[in-house]
Amino acid sequence: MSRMRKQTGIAASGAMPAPPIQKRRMNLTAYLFVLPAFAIYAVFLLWPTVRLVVLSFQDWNGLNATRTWIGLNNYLELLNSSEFWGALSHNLLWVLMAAFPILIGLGLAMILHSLRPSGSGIYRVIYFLPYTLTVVLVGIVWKWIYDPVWGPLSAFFRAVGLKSLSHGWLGDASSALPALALAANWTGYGFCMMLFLAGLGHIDPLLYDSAAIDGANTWQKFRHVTLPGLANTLNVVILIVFIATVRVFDIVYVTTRGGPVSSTEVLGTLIHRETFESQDVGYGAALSVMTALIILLASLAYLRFREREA
Amino acid sequence: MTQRAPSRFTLTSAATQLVLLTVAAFSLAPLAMIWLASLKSNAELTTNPLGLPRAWKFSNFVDAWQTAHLDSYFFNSVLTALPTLVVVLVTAGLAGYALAMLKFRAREPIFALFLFGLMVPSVSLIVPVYYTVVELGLLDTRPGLILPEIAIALPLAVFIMRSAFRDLPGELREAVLIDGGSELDCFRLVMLPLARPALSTVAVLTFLGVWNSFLYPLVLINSDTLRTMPLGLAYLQGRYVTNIVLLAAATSLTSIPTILIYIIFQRQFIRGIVEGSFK
Repeated sequence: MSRMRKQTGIAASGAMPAPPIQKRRMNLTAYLFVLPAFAIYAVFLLWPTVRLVVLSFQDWNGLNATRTWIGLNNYLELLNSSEFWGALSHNLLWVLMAAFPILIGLGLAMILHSLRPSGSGIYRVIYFLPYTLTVVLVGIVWKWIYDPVWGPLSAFFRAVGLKSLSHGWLGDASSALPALALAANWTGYGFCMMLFLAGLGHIDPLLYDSAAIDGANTWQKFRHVTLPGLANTLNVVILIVFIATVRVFDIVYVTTRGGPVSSTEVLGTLIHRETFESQDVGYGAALSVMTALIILLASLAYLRFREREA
Repeated sequence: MTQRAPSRFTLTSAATQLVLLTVAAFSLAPLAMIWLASLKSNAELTTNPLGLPRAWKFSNFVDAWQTAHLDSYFFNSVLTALPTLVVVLVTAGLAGYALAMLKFRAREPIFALFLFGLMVPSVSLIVPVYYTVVELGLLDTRPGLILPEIAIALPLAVFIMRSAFRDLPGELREAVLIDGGSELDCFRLVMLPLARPALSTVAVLTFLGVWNSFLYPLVLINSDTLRTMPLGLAYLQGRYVTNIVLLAAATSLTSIPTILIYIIFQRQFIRGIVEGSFK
C-alpha cells in the first residue's frame, strides 16, 4: 500500500512534460470514473438520509403541501410512547434468541473443521441453503408450518396425542415472538457456521501442535487456542446478527404484521405502519432516525473490529 | 487436530454423523414439506398432511405459474435484478478504481460518504426514499425501484472494489499509461480482469440483495404487472388464503431460482458472503 503510494508519488513528480495538464486530466478522469456511482448514490441514498432527518423535525401527513416544524416533538412523543419501547424490547428479545444460531453455528463449524467427518462438504451446502432463500418465502413456509388447521406441526402434535400443543403458535400473543424468532433463526445458523469456518481456517495449525506438545487436552486447546483465535470472528458475527435483528422487517410483515396485540411489533413494522398506514410521516421519520442511530453505533464498533481483522 | 486420521467406524464418528444428520434434516424439512404439500390437493392436505401424496398433483405448479401470475413476477424479478447487477458492477468498478488508484482532491471525502452508506439500514431509508421517488415521478415504475436498489447496493460494492484495486500493483497502471493506453483501457483491459474475484463477490451480494428484496418493492410498486417474486408471493398469500396447495406450489417455485444459482455457483456464493461480511 505504502509502496504503491510512493510509486504514484514518483510518477507524479517525475512526469516531466507539462505536469499540470496531465495532472488536471487525471483529476478529471478520476471524477468521471466516480461520477456514475456517486450520482445514483447521492440522489437515492445520501439525499434521502438528509431528508429523513429534516422530516423527523416536522409534522406532515404525507399529502398536504404544508409541513409544520415542531422541533423535537416527534422524538419526545416517541420516547414517551409504549409502542416504541415495546417494539425496541421485541427487537432486543430477538437479539437474545439469536444466541442460538450463533452457538449452533459455532458448534457445527467446530465439528466440521476439527473432526473432518465424511460428507462435510455436503453438510456445509445444506446448512447454508436456507440463508439463500427469500425471507418472504421463509416467512410463508413457517407461517404454514405453525398454522393450527393446515400446518404440519399441529398435524404432528395431533398425531402423537399432544393436542394442547397443536394451537396456532403465531396466533397466540405469548408464543408468537419466540416462534417467529425460531423461524428467522432457521436461516441463521448456516450463515454463522460459514463465518466461523472462515475464522477457524485462519488459526495456525502449529498452535494446536505446540499445545499438544505442552500436554493440553481437547478442552484446553479450545479454551486457549480456538477461542482466542476466533475472538474477532465472534465479534463480527455478533454485530452482524445484532444489526440484522434490529432492522428485521420482512418476516414479521408477511407472517404476523406485528400482531397479535402488538406482541411481535418491531421497529421496522412500526416505522412502516406509522408512515404508510397512519400517515404520520414525521413520527415515522423520527422512528427511522432512532433505528438508524442504534445500527450506526453498532456498525461503528463493527468497523473497528473489521479493521483489526485486516 | 488436522493430523487426526479419519476413523470412520468409531462411536464418536457415529455420534457426530447423527448430530450432523439431525441438523441437516432440520435445514431441509421445511422446504421438503412445502414441496410435498404443493403436490397434493387441498382435500388430501387435510386428511394426509404429513405423508407422501397419494395422487401427485403436478397441475398445482401450472396453476401457480399461470393463474397466480408467478410467470410475470419471475420476469419482473429478472428485469429488476439484471439491470441492478450490471449497473452496480460497472459503476462500483469505476468508482472503486478511481478511489484506489487515482489521486484527486475529493477522494477521501467521497469514500467517507460511501462508507457512511454502509451503516444506514433500508428500514430507515424507506420513508424518505419513497417521497424522493414520488417527487421524481417514478413511483410504480421499474426505474423507480431499480435506482434505489442500486443506491443501497453501492456502498459495499464500492468498498470491496476499492480494496481489491488497492491490492493490485500501481506499476502495472503506469506501464499501461506509458505504452499510450488510456485510463479507461487500463481499467477495462488490465485491472478489471485482475479484480475478478472481487467482482464475483460483489455480484453475489448484489444479486442476493436485489432478488430477495421486499421492503423497497412493497413501498415503491403498486401494479400487479410490476411485482417482483417476493412481493408477488406476499400478495398471493393474502389472495389464496384457503387454496393452500396453490400457495405452497407458488412458494416452492419461488425457491427454485436462488437454490439453483446457489448450487451452481456454490464456491463463489459462499466466498462472496464470507468476504462481504469481513470486508
